[in-house]
Amino acid sequence: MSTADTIRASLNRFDPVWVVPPILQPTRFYLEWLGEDLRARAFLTSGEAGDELCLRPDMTTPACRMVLGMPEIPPAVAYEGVVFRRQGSGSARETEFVQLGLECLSTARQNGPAMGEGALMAAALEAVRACGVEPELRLGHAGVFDAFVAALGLHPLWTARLRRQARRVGELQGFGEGPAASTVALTQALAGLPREEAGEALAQLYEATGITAVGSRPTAAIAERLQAKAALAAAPQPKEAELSLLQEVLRVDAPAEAALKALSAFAKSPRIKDQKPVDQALAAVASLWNEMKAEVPAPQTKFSPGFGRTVSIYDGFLFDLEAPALGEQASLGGGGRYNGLIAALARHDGVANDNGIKACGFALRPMRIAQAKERAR
Amino acid sequence: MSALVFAVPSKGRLQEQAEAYLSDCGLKITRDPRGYAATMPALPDVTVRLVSAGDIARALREGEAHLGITGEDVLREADPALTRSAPLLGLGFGYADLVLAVPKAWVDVASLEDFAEVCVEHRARTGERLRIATKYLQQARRFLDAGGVGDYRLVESPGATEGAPASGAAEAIIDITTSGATLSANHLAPLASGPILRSQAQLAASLAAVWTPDAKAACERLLDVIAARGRARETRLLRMSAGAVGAEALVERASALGCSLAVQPDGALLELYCPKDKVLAVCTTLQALFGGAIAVTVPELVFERPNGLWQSLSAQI
Repeated sequence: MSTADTIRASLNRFDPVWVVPPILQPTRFYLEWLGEDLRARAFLTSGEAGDELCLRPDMTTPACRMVLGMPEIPPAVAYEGVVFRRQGSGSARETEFVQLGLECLSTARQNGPAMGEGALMAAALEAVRACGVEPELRLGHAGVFDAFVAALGLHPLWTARLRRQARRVGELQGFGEGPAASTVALTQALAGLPREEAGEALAQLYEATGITAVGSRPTAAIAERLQAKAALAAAPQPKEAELSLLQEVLRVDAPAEAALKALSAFAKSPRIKDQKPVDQALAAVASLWNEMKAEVPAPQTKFSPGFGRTVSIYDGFLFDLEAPALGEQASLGGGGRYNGLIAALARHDGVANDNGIKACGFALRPMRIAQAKERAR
Repeated sequence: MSALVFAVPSKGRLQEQAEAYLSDCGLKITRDPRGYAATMPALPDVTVRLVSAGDIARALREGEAHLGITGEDVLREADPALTRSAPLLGLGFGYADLVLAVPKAWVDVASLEDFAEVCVEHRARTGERLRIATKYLQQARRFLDAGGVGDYRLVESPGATEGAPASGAAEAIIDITTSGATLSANHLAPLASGPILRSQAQLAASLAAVWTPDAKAACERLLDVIAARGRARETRLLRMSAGAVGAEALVERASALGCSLAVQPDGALLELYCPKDKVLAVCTTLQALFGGAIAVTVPELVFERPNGLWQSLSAQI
């Protein structure tokens, strides 16, 4: 049996509906969701009527699209197909490769319990093991860092800013150089006004200073943000110690049990105002870890709250199965929870979303798995 | 077919400035009557091709020309990581800034961090990404990604980009500006935190072209002249008779002030190169020492070995 045959057989144990999404996909949803990253990562083309299309850069999105169009949402869908990724010049990464994967969608109305996150991870692991490869597991969870930020009890604007910074490359920053002196006075002047009056005051200022407002951004939104900036400046800034605690949290990268222990210790830091969100997030990780171990023997695992934080599609747990022997191309596949993506997709396609749709899944790369097996010999 | 292809701007202000620059180096361009090919009589091995600034950048990237004169902004747009073309020398003209500009009414936006937050706010309010009109897609993407701006979308705009916010085609723009007057007339202002790129005209080389031994030889001669002219502009020649004090003592003193020997002293006659802005200080000091006359002249060309311009290029091709 080929690697792909083995994986297919392994996925079939979950009785999925197999879908065959089109290779050409409209870019509109991708552009809204991934932004300009898409142009750097996908091969773009256009249709007869000038509509922008791309060669599918993933299988998850087109597969979910097909499922959302079905009259009954099946609990599990599977797919097999080539995906296409643009790579930087000189990159050794593949521009096309096969993905075989499983996505589990659940809605509030669905009959029977959805497949658990730990069981899903176990399924990915078993499929790789069935091919004769013992991978290492890299595990992360977007909720852990977010919980630590929440636990500091900062002003909500600071909480939002730090979470956003953490999803980007680079260090967390405090206030930086601060606002320009010219806007400080303006900000303070508007700070005291009620919301609806602040926009009016700003419009009068434009008139007095000869500024013509162009573009679609409402004056009220500008006034509101100035007020928010004033609130942010007045709110206690995150202290050095709080920022460095968050940096420490992001830096944790250790075998799963040790990592959870280290994070529990951080949760007892005097900087933490409210331990509850952190405890809940860590309990969620521990429970999916235990759920996986109940299904299959645990592989070598590393957990890191910072893992995959720049990958924008996962908003819960996420994981990667790796064969370190393959060096730069170690990833054999991975997955995670993407409730935000599926909700956005449902909205975009005009599918009613009042049934609280949720999704998680994984995709494997049979060619890499075959290489890893070859290398292990 | 000559050895080296040199692409020079074919029109506009940049053409005038580039041709004036080359003439000043003694490398005058003679145009063919129809206007797209030209020769450089001083260096017969060089074919001059007259092309638009954007096409020069592409020709260097594709290896269709060996050398070219074009703006750093278009050079980086055609080859963002500068892996196939290399700027060699800023020429001191064609200055322009590549900036991110937003409506003046956005008084809450001074830094890129502010801009990133407005992008988030815009997406939350409208459900769509904030649109930025530009023709500098590559550099815009690099700059915004490096700055952690996420929720934006680029709208390609081949011309009159400044009008995009007023016409409703975009919320902000990334474009070239020299004085800022056009931006201001369109009710826009560049971000206070500074430009994306301070650009000027560059003498640039292609790393992708086929560099035959003849092409290299022709290029080295061309760069020799350009480097020699560049050095001459910054240098003055001082001539004096050392007399009783002796050449050695004068040279030692002058070297400490940044001068160098122009030629090995032959008898009492001493010739020194002196940085243009140090001439007065050097003359005063030396005259106090030996009391003689010093003649200061402006050199036409100052050839020196090794030629740094050619060295840095030859290491890459």
